[in-house]
Amino acid sequence: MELDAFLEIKNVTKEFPGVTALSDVSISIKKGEIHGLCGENGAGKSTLMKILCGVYPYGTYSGDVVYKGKVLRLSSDSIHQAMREGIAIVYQELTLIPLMTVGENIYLGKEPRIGPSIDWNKLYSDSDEVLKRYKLPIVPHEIVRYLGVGQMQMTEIAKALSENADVLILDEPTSALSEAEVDKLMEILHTLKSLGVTCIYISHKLEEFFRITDTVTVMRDGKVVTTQPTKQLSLEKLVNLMVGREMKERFPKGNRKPGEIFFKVEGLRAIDPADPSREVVKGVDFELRKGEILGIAGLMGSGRTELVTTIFGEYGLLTAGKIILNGKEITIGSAREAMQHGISLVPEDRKRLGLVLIQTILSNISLPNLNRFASFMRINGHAEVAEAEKFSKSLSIKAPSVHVLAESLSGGNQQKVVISKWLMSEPKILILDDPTRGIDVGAKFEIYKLMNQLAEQGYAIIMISSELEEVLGMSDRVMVMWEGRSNGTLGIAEATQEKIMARATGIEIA
Amino acid sequence: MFNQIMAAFKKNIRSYVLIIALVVIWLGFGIAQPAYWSADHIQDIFMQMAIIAIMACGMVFVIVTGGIDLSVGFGAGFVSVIAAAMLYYKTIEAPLASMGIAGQTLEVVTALIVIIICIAMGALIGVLQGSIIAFLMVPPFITTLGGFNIWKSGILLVTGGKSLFISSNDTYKFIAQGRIPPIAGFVIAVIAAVLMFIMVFRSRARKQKYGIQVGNLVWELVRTVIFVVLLFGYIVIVNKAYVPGVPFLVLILAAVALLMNYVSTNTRFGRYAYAIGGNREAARLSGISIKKSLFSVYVTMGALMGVSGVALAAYVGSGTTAAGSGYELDVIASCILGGCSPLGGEGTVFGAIIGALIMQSLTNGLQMLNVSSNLQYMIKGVVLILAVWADMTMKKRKA
Repeated sequence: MELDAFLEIKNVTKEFPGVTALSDVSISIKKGEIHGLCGENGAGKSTLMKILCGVYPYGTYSGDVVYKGKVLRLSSDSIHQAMREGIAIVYQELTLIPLMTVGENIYLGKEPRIGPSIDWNKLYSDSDEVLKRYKLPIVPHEIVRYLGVGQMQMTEIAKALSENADVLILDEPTSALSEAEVDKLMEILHTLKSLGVTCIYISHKLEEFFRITDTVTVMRDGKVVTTQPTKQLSLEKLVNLMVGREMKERFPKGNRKPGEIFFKVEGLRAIDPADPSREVVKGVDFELRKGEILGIAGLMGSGRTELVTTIFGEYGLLTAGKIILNGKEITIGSAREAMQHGISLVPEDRKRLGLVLIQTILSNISLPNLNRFASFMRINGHAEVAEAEKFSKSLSIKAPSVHVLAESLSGGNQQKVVISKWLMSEPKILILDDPTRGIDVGAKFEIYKLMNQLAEQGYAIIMISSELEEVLGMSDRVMVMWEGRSNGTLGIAEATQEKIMARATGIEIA
Repeated sequence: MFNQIMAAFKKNIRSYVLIIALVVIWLGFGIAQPAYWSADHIQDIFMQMAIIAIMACGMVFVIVTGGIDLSVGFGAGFVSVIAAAMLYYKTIEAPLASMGIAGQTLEVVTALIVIIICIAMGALIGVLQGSIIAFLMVPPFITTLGGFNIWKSGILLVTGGKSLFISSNDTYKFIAQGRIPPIAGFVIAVIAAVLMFIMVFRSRARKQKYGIQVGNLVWELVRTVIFVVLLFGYIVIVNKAYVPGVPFLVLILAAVALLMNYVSTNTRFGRYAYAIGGNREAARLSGISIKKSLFSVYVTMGALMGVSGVALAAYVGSGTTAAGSGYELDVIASCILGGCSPLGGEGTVFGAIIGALIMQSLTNGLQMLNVSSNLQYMIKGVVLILAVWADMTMKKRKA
């Protein structure tokens, strides 16, 4: 095994309008090692991987990636180029075609041919050969939709390795796997290592790094904090490295005075209606006061979004537990009913769930609120415009008028449109699901100020956030979620990043 | 002032592209064949497009929600043969006559009852298909493809393979064949013009009341004057035709178009349709009942199909075995040509009407130039594709 770097990332900086996603990142990866990459959401891991596999081609970032002694220059016209160079990636979400067989999926887009027709015999014998070489226990003729999640992942790995990859990137491969499947994956990774494949392993489950990796790089805010051999690290140390930073004045001081408890969730459990065998909320309790901001922390996949969309009546089917508003148990079966109870949800993905992008700011803001302007046959268009302009002004949405299309706005302004839309419905409880994701620092600050104002006016706010700093900077209390359940609620005075992380990773259980 | 007008015009250029295309078509055919501009032809063209255009007003909503309705051709045909059968077999007339009603009164009452039954039939077809689409969640393409075949069979069953002539009721045939007296046309135009001007000022006053910035008054007035001039020009021309007067069917179309245009922008029903087509998930999370909205859209489509069916029977003067055949494609083409996005979320009633007019203008022009009918479909097909491609290119450049 050679000791010098096989894949070296040198001073890479990547900027998006208003955000520096990676700043001066240098990592060197040795041949044949399993290199762990950890960090909070938004630390820059995914951006870095996208550079390695050519989603962001050479020239869109500064710095160099040196691979096998040469500068890697991936062009923009083909993201398959990285694969031909021997760098393959297995994404977090599976990208297989369910109705095709394992073999067809492995060779999708590169089917062996005789003249114009596909050489099925070669396709299946080659697939078989790949699966055997890497000791993946699946059969090429199996239809993918009948496989378990773990086996689908194996198919993904086989697909990635089918072009004799030297580097395999695994982006949170275990987030959907059961314990037994994780064990199986670890076994496969050992096999790959023994065959000389270099792996970059990204995960939110920290203990996995100690099971499998040789070296771990910790990233934070687009920078590399450290790269160390796994042997020198401990779980606690890793958590410290991930979050350990000083709090800056990034959060406006509010003057919130939380009032009495008026909303409670007790022992809530819910299943996915599309797949009743899957429990998505596994026991959540919390209380909410008037005029407070309750932060919900937790890693991706910990069930935060599932919880709030279930409360909003649009996702899970309740199997146990109660939702109590003003001392009365309520049931919520749809967004409309939630709104009638005074609950509003600003969903996590504003483009997909929050906005009708091809419509104007006006139409978006008034969409859930048309009833107030409408009689049976008529909408009072003038009142609607006047009201929308009022919100646009008070939230300082930067646009020439409310008649501008939502798709033309920046992320921060889009988010303000979604918030306006829900404020107009005059809720008592405003749920914000990761409200500042993907928006720049300045716009974040404005959204924080807005949250303070709203809480001061007596709105109760529930804020999900992937950024620990944000949770600590903005909340009065923090509920931590872990594996679908609430793992304790911390008052802001006692909450620290380490304590939250310990609960979010299940190291500490309430 | 002229500069202001030009600036406003430039800002709205995309909405006028269709109208410009229409003007170009009219100029081209008019130069090649002067009869194209004759009073008789101008009277005809709006009348001929009406049946398609009425359904296009409903189809806009269907396409805006991201759906499609393939059943409207034979659906309207089915309604038309029901109407023809009721008149041919004197189903309504005979009981009424036995009650002692006779003469002109008998004709009018019979016609009214037939019209009500037929529009209800259309709405019922909408209820049926709408339920399947909205509540059983069968895709619109499949549901209405089924409907296409079902109503086709319905036509054959009702007619028994022969044409049912409407010989006894001229009042009914007036719906699609009659013209209103020339003076009535003028009266309607004057009322409409006065209303348009009142609306301009009323809207500005209300905007000011709500503290909304008002647009350029000159431009708004110029636009209104242009509409009024076109309206009066049309009335003057059709009053010179061989059978003078505005066709009654065009009046029905105008009423339907104005109503549906209003519904599309000023009612919850309309706004929800656009939201659902624009982003179904966001609409659902905004508390909109997708099922109820989709259902209502198909019921509306059905009712307008009923109106077209009534008109079709009156226009042809009989119920035929091929009634409505191929209309669905003309209706859909009108909407797409008029700017509806097949992916949903975009499209206007006004655009669809212009789309229908463009299609009809092409058909008539080609016929008047004696272009072989074998070739006409090909030309219309090419124009449709070119128009949509041009529209998409314009949009891209804007973005």
